[in-house]
Amino acid sequence: MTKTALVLTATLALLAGPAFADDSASGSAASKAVDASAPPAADQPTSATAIPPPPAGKGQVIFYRPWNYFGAADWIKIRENGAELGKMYGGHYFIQVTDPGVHKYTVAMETTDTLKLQVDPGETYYVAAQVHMGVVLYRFNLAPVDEATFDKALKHLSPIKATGQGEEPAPSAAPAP
Amino acid sequence: MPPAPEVCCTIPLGTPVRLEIMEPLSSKTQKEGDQFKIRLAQPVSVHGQVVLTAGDVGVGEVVDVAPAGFTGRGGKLVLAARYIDQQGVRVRLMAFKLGGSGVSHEDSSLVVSTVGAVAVGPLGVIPGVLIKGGQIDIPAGAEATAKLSSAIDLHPAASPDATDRKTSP
Repeated sequence: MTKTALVLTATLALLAGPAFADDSASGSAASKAVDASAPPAADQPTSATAIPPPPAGKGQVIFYRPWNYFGAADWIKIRENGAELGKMYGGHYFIQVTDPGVHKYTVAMETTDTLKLQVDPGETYYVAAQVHMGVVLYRFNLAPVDEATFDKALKHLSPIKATGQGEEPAPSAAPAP
Repeated sequence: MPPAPEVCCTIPLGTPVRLEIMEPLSSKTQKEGDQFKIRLAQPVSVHGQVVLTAGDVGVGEVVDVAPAGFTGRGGKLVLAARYIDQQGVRVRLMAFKLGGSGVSHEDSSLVVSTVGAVAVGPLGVIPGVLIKGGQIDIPAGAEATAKLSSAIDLHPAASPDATDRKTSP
């Protein structure tokens, strides 16, 4: 098997923003200048989920955990600098609004996995907590993904509040795969 | 001595730009903090005057990297664009995103999620332990996008052919 776990970053995502929308028709991207004096496009919902963009001056990270039989009954905690941001069973996601800058997130099970993200204002990032087999238990890793991947996973996900913003999720609330 | 050209235009914060990564990057070999070369792939104009020319070079940075693991964990490679140098002026960038041509693996998919958890390693060893996740390989020339992280006043591009100036990698 040549295709194993290939994970690419949320910052490495397909983008077809409004300013580039006519490039395919014109052929060469380099031959046509981006018109910076054109009025900016209005803020759109972040994805097909209609998740709103972050507040002015803030960025946001959407953490989600795809449903998987492995470890489905155990919750995992997403942390930053030791502080819990949220905990999820399989099939959930939460939104973390945060200040721009580099953030270091961790998830721990058999081992601890870390992910550094450059969060920029006005931007939304997607991070999947993915399970894979460890030596004794299973492990989780935080994998930045693109918006399309999150949108595809969303039909199997339910929103929860980040820690301190609501009730904890119940295992039974997780949608079936 | 000719007078310096006047500042003509302000490029607004958030203006999108097309970029090209000028060197190959891999989750197997890069280190956190590594810088890499980028260049503008498409000129930027303001009121019809080109102020950023295709070919202007700049710098990106590896924010996070992890090679693929032996338990099925895929590689990670988190990149950021820092700036484009336009005639000595650093045009700061943010919101870096790689275009669709950035992955050289067979499936050309940006994301292939976990497989190690359900795979059985050869010779009856502990499932998953010998399953190696895929590396992230980004070839030179991969397209990307970013946005200006602040508004900036610039001179118009100097030469008539500046709209498509090319530089060597």
